[in-house]
Amino acid sequence: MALISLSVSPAKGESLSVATVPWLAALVMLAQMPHYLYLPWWVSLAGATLVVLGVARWRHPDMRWLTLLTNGWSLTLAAAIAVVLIKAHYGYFIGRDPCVAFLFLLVSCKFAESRSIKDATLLICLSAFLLSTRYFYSQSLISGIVTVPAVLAIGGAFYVIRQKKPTSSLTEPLAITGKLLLQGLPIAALLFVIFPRLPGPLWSLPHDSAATTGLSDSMTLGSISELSQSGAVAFRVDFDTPVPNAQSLYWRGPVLSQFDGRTWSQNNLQSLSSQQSLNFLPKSDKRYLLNPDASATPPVTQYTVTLEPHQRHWLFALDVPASLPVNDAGTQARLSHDFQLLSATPVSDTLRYQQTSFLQDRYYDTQPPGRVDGQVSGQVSGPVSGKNQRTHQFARQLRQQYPDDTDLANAMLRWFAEEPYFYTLRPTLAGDNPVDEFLFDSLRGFCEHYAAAFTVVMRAAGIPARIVTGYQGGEMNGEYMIVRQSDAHAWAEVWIDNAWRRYDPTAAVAPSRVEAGIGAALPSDEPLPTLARFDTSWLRAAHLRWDSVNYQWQQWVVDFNTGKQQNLWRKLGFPNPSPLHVALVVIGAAALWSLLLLRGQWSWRPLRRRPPEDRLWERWLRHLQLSGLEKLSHEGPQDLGQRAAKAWPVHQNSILSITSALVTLRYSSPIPVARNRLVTTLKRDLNSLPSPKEWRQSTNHRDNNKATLTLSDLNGHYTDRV
Amino acid sequence: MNATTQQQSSRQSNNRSFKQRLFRTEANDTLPLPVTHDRIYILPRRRGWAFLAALLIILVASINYGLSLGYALCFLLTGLFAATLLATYRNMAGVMLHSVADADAVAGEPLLFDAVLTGKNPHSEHIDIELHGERCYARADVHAGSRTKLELLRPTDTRGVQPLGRLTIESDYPLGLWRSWAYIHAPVVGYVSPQPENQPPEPPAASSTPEPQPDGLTDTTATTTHGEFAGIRPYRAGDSTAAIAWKQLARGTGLHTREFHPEHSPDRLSLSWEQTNALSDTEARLSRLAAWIHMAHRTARPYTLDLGPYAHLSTNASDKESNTAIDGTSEEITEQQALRQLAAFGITDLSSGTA
Repeated sequence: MALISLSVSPAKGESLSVATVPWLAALVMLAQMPHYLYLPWWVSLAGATLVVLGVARWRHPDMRWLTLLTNGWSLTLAAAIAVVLIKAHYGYFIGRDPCVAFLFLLVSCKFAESRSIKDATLLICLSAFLLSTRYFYSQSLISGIVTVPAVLAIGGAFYVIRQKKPTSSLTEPLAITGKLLLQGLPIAALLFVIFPRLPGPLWSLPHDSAATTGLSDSMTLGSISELSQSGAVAFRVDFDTPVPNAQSLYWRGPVLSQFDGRTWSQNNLQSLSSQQSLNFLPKSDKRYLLNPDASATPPVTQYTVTLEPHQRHWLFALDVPASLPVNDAGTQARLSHDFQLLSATPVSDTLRYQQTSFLQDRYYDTQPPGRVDGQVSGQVSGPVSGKNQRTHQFARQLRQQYPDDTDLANAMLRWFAEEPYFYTLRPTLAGDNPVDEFLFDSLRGFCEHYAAAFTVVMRAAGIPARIVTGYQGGEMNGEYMIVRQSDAHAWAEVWIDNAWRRYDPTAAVAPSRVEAGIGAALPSDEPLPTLARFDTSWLRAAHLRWDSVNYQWQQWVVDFNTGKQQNLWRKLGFPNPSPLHVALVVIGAAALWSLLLLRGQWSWRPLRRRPPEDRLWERWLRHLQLSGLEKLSHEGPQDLGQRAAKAWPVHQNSILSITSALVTLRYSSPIPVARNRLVTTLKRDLNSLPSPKEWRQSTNHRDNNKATLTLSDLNGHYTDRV
Repeated sequence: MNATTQQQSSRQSNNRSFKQRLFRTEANDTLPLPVTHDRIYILPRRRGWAFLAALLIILVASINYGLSLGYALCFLLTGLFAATLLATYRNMAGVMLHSVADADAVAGEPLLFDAVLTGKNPHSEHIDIELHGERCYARADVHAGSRTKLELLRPTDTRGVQPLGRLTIESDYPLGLWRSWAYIHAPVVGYVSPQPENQPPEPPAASSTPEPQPDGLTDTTATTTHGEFAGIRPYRAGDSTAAIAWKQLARGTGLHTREFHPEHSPDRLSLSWEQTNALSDTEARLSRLAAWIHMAHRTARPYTLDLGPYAHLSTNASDKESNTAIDGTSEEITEQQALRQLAAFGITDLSSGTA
């Protein structure tokens, strides 16, 4: 991040007017506010203090110490100290988080120092950038909404610093910025939809990757649902063989077999297994992969994985890996005993390797679990004492019911499918016995809950079981597949009949998760029957609604990606838009937009409301016209009223009353109270008129000789009524 | 040979008209002139470029980190930027430069060009319209329907004819991100007359009426109102304030001037270039003539002004009169006209103001 130098000499260029200070202060605060949540407290405090100092300097320009404290030199010094402190705090400086912290402080410094219009311009631009950096941490709907006032402040600040004669009006800059934003909205939306999303980072700062999301070597309930809210790419795959169907896209990652009642972690024997990796190429040694009794080979698939750096050792392969990764750069990798592919060094750069897998949901092992070369791993099976007792009891019941392991596992899957379990990103979980609570109380969980509960039940029933984490699914993007963090998944592996067999309880609850991905599995409108089983208070309903709004936001705004973009083009009839197409669409839309804005009724002058009597007068004329009485060009309301009264003596009263009210409103400017009452009366009279059709039928065709109405008659009538 | 020269000349004229269209280098515009799309330029200001740079940084960060909301923010601000372009254009389009009057000044004092701006369509409002030319600047909001007067003040130092030159009419309303401007080049000039000599000698009397000069001119201000009242006539620019018919003014019939038959008609002065032979410097001679003209007008003495072969008749009437001498009864020419003659003395090309 470039260090933007603070101008040292005071007030170059045109100096800033005091009237702009509230705007700039508001902008800085709105841009900084979201960061208070994510920054170290002292950075937030320092930033806020500098802003307060800056405002104080404008309010008390005679205070020398304030001026001294906020001049260019002292603030440059402050920025330099900030660099040192931030480096001390984070341990590094060139990275995303420290740079955001520095930018945060820089904006404060710039505000405190701003004296000229040039300073203010730079400040606004820095604030805009700072505003965008909050999305590193949160792209939720709230984050989006919170941005809107800040964007208004950006426009307002530009408006006021431009003004030669500053106004104190608050609404004028806001109204004009709001109008401009609304006018620009179509262009913004078009660009958002059409602008090509470039895959992957253009660069990556050395420490950024440490903060990126990804699977870890332990899994607490809730960690994967957190992960699946990230649209970041985990890896990309090019298939040499036909793309497997979605149900077999299980990308095997860390295997977790140790459970303390809350957290799953890798086997204690991790260190051991790192020495004890399989010294074979599975492809050539088929005893692991084939059922010894069967003769047919399972389908083989070949592909190339481009793995994003994640700072860990493991590599991903489709279940079950049949080879060691082949890598041009010569990266050493091996297959651990529990079939994890492990790289010799942490993956700190994008890594590309070729891989072969058997598309098979099991692998055979000569060694029963729990014993690796004679050593016993007590954690692969067996209950953990004291925790999740209800689950254990439940498992014992199942065991009694189903003596066969396969039957028991299937019964458990059926249980998940038939009981009202609910697949959601936001499970409500707390307490010491999370599996119990999930399984029997909340019944709401994400994939890790199902996998964990399944595994615990299996173990409690005496069947060796463990959790495999990884990714499930992937999105085809033209020729290649993208697997994202949001595809993160957890499933169970159970040892039955000399093989580790894959059981995915999530698929039992939400089959679409496996068939069509997480987007399909979490419907926006959650089915009511499920909801009805729970507490149906409005609060919960509101919460669910909010969840679904958030989810839509996530799906359509945050996760708007190349795939969705291509779908859109396809729907528009351009399956493969060339850059020329895109350019033409943008140019055409921009031309249309300009035309509408320049020729249309987007007047800068606010529309003046017409007085009510004008509209009522027109209504009256329309009524008479439809009834067959045209206003003559020389006629005023009075003459017209007389003619109408002659034509329809039956309605003489209402005609008189309407005419007199119109005349009074138009010509005698009554006081507001009387005026309002008169308007109400007039409206009521007009509303209560019979339809013009009836009037036409009741027209008095005889040339009657009744006395013509005079003005005094009308006035008399008016005074009677009001 | 002939063809090639023709071609060349046509190319030259093409080139010239192209340049004229782009930059309005020649004073060809006739007022009133509405500022329309064919002469409006619009480009980002420096602030706009800075804002664009910030947008680019946001975009790059969004691409790098795959931030959808970053894209959204970037494009929202891009939309704002684009809408501001149209707003700036709309603010500028339809401003009409109604007129700019020729200006007069004495050397050393500023020339004041009065520019009148109006809106072309009655419902538009043009905010913060700036008008600037060479060494002059003014700014105002131009409201619908009404005429907005802008005063362009340009400092002067030497005598001469200063063309107003090309005016730039510009605005960066509403956000200061874009600057729209248009060039208008109308043949408007400012006449900078010589500074009157401080204590000039007596002007010589006309040779045709060799009457002796009245002693001194101490009674100058009173002269015009002395004598027998002859009647009133509508006020004309240049009439002495002492002769204004206040009664008529108070009755609301407008500005009139009382006319008097002079008790004794003052002698006609014959001012000419040759009479200033005593001085060698052109400017000094013009200064003397200026002082004499002032004196003649103050005392309401008729005079003739003959600037000889160097004169350039500069006022609009110049085309009609081929005679370089002005028949100087004060009713015939105004002091302004005479001084303009002096200002334009020796200048052959009025549009560029050079000799």
